[in-house]
Amino acid sequence: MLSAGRKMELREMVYLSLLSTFAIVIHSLEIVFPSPLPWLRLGLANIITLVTLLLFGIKAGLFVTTIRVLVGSLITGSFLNPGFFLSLSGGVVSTLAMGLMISLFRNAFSPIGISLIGAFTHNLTQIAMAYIMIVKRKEIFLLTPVILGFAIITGTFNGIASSLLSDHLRGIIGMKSVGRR
Amino acid sequence: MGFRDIIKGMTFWDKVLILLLSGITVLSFFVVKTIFPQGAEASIDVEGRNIGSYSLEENRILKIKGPLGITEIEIKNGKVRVIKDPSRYKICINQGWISKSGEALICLPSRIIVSITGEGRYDAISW
Repeated sequence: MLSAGRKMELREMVYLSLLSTFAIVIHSLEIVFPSPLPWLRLGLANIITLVTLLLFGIKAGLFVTTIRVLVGSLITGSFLNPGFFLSLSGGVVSTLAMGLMISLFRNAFSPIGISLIGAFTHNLTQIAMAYIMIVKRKEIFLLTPVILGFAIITGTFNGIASSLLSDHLRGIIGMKSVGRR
Repeated sequence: MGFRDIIKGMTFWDKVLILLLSGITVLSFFVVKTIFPQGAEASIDVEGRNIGSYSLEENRILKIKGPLGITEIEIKNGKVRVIKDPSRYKICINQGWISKSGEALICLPSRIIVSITGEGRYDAISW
C-alpha cells in the first residue's frame, strides 16, 4: 500500500498531467483559430494556467506552462521559432506574476483580478521580447495601446472562465490539502 | 456557483485593478502618440543618394544643389512642392503639392527626387 503522502503526490501528478494536456490542446488549437489581427490571441490557455495556480500553487503552474509551450510548439512546428520564445517568456512571466499575486494578496483579488494581471504581464513581456529579439524597431510599441486594451477584455473573460472551472474542479478533485499553499 | 456569483464575487481591489489597467491603457495611447508623431517626412535624393529627411510639420524652403543648379523645395502645412528648378520643362513644378506617403516629386534633369515617407505604417508583420 502506498502511504497517504505518496498517494497525494500521485494524484497531484495525474491532475497536473491532465491540466497540461488541456493546456497543450487549447494552445495548439488557438494558433489555428482565426484572429482579427495576427498578433492578437485570446490567451485561452491562460485559463488552465490560472486554474492550476489556484488549485496546486505556483510550482505546478510553472510546470504546466512550460510543458504547454514546449509540447505545443512541437505540435505546431514552431519549436525554437521566434514565436516559441515569445510564448515561453510571456507564459513564464505571467505565471510568476499571477502566482505571486495569489500568494501575496490571498483574498484581495478574485480570479478576475489575477487573470487581468496575467494578461497584462503576458502581453507586456511579449512586446518587450519582440522588440529585443525580432523587430528591433521602436515602432513595435505603437501596438501597445491596442494590445493592452485587448488584454483587459480577454483577461476579464479568462478570469471568469478560470473562476468557474476552478470551482468545478475543486469539487471533483475533492482534496482538502489541494489549493492554498 | 454561477456566472452572476462570480461577477458579484469581484473584490474591491479587482475593481481598482480594472480601473488602474484601463488608465494605463489610455495613458499608453497618449504616450505612444507623443513619442511617435504621425507626421510624414519628405525624403530627398540627389543623384541617387539620399541627402536627408525633413518633417512636413515644419514650414520651410529648402535649397538643394543638383548637377544643373539650385532646386528650391517648399514644405508648408504638411505638403511639399518644388518652386524652382533649373530643368527645361519644369515637370516637377507642375506636379504641384504632394502630401501622402509614397508620393514623389521627380525632377529628372536635375536628378532630384522628393518622396514622402513615414506615417509609421507597416507593410507587414508576421511570425
